[in-house]
Amino acid sequence: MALLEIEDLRVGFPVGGRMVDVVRGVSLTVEAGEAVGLVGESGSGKSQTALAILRLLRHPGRIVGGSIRLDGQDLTQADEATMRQLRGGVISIVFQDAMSGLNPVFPIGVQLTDVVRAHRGVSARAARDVAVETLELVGIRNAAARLGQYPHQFSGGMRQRVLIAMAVACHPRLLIADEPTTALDVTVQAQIVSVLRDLRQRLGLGLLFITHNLDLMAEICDRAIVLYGGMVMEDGSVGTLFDAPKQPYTRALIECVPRLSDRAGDLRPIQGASPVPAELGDGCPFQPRCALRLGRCEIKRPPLVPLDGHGVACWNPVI
Amino acid sequence: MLWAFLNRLLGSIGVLVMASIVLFALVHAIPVSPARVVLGMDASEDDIATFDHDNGLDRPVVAQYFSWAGNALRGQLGRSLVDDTSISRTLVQTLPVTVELVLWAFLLALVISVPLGIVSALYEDRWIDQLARGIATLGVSIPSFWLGLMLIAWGAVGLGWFPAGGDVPWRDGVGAHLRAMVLPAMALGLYYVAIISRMTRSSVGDVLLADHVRVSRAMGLPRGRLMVYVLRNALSPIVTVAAMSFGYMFGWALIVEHVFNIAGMSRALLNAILRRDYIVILDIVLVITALFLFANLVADLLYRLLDPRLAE
Amino acid sequence: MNRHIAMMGAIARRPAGRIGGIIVCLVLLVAIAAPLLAPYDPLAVNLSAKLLPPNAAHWLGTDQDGRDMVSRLIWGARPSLAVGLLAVAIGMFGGVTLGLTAAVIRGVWEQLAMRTMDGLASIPLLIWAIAIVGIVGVGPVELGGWSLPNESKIVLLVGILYMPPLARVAYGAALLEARAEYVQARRLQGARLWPVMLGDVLPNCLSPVIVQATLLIAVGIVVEASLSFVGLGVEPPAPSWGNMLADARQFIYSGAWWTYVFPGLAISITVIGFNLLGDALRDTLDPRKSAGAGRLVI
Repeated sequence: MALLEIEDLRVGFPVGGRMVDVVRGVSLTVEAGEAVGLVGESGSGKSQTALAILRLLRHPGRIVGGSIRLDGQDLTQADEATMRQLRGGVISIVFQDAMSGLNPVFPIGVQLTDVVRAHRGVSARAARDVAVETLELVGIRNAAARLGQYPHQFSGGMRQRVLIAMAVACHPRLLIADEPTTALDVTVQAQIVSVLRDLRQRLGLGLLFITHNLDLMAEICDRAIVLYGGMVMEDGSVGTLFDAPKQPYTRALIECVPRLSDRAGDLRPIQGASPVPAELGDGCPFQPRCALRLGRCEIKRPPLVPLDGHGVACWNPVI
Repeated sequence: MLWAFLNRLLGSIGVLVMASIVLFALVHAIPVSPARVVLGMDASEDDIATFDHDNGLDRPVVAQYFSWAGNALRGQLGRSLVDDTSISRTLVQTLPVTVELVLWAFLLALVISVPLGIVSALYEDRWIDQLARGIATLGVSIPSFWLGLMLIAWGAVGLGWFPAGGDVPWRDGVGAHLRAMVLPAMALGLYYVAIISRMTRSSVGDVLLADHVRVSRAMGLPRGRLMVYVLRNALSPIVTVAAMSFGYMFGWALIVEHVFNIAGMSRALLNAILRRDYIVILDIVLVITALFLFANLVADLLYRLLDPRLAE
Repeated sequence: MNRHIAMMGAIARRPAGRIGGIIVCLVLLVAIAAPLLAPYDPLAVNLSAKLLPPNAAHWLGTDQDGRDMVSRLIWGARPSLAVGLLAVAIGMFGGVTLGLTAAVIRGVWEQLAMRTMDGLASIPLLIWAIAIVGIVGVGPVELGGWSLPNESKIVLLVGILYMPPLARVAYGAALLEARAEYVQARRLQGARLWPVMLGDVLPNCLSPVIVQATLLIAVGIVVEASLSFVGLGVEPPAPSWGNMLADARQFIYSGAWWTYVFPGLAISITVIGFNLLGDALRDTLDPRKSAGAGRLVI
């Protein structure tokens, strides 16, 4: 049984009397210890999917359909008390907001030990030891001395490391990283990715890495899932996805990343604009911008079917 | 941080000194001299000259100011020229009464407004929030002296639960004294319940939307601990407003004292005004101004202490 | 012009704004049209009609000298509103000038102006109002050939003490605006400092200033009423809501409720009106600020 199994998840927000779905039937799995990348542009529904797993959707958004199974248990039916135990203890999340994610008025040591003690009934001293150990694990030197320091005394990259430490302190089985590097400098981005890779090795964490940056994702993930318009477009191992993308959107996405060998004027953007969830109809969300579209693409959504080792949702895939 | 605080302290002392100069100048600029007040409007020139000389009023104004200031700093506020009572003694008798009223009103206000504000923020737009906002709008608009009158009409004359006058000394019984304080404290405090609860609601409301609160929720922290995290962050503006309110209360306390016949500084001040006892007016106003400045200083200090980013 | 109309529309859409706006307009109208609206002479003593409860001839009853409550309440609006509006006008004139110039000229003037404002802000309003009127004496002010009413002292003092909050708001807004790109662009185009300040920066600073000013009008009304209540404001027999309450105090025990309920209600409703209007203005003009943040404690 997979660690995480999401089936036909739908997340919606009530807008002016009706429900607008931003996640429109997403299915994916993450095996224990596996690193899966969730790729998509802003508004594709990837963050909402992540929040839905932890039931942290901001009111009035809510899960309107589908199931999210962790070791077989459906999280969409779990009560708040159960979820609180799972969050931080079994499934953790690291957000984008490194600069503002830590509470400014408490020392980081307190914030860390609070997480440890929330999930493990250990003494204050033992919690402190775990905190120091975890900080060292994420590469913060002189950890014991820095426990008493406040977030404003750390740089952006260091703060993100502290946040990661908080997330993994209780050795969760799944870590969701929602654009953990987007707000950081490029050099720091690489460091954070390396921290995550290291943690995966040492702790055997499952990882759901959410990003819009394909290259970054490829460095750390075994498999990738491409999201667009709230739907899975394609899913497969990173190697095959990059070498032989079958879904036109995936192809266009890979194509539009600039290469060193490009000359000036060689940009290959995807024509058109990102879809507005409220305006999406019954067909494939990408069809207005798709070079390979057919008549039926506008009328009916293509199901996700296996094709040469990928999962592909397309009426006219690239063979 | 010490520097910033000392800076504020010096500033406050400067304001107090300027204020004393302005008042002193004003008192000496008005046409009716203390001599005429005491001796009557048809006193002879000679009598006036003698009076002025005896009381040091014929010296240059600046000299009079420095001698007054010098004495004031040593705690000797002089004697009233009109009825020869010691001003210091008057203040010692009346100041604690006013301070007590302010303390009760402040306590009442805090005890009601902070929890109300927190609950309002947590249950935004539900009935409790609507109610709290309604109370806040009313509380900020109803003048305290009229509220006092209405409370007397309802609580004392109507229901008879409370005395109409607030002037029940402690030795008449703790219970009686406290009961006499209820209506005045309510009249003075309602405005501040409104102000502080609004600030609490907005501060807590802002913190609830913060990124770090989302992170704390995502880490599975228990609800109690989460509230501590939220409240500790929301504290600064609330404490600042509360400390400043304490200072402002002294002014309105005088009006409320007048309504409830409480023998606090209001009586001393208003009597002094009636009797044209100018130096007494000056002294009382400066004492209250000093208290006000002190309250603002405390507000500033607390604000700096509460935010570790500023404590550098 | 369009912007102002759009703004009024936005305020009218909010229930709080509508109520506040209506109350303010009504009270202003009543105060201005007092001679036309008052059914009786507010000073007309009629001892045979003392302390009558509300009836057909006197809709809100009569006071202890037989004077009609409705007429006195109508005329009593004038001193309170006059103090509120004039004090704010003085405060706005001085405060906005100081704040705006401080933000634009910067340097020594900025330090001087803003520090003076900070100092002035440390003065407790009500006590000083009582003290100044107490020292100078209650009664008209003879200035040259003019005789100004007692209220003018209150207006002047409150106006001066209103400058700091208004200056601070204007200063903050002007600082933001002066750095804005469109101002830099205009300067680069060769526009001189002052026309840019008055033409571009000032209008954008006015919004938060107007919000603060509206709330300060409410405070001014209560200050005037409080001073009249303790005998330092409008002298009887001329009516002010405050001195009407002072006269009515004695009747709390003898049941003539109309003498003390209506004047207080008048003050409260007027103040509620200005507060609601101020809040609605703030929500419309400056939605970033949360509800509690902008209010000045007084």
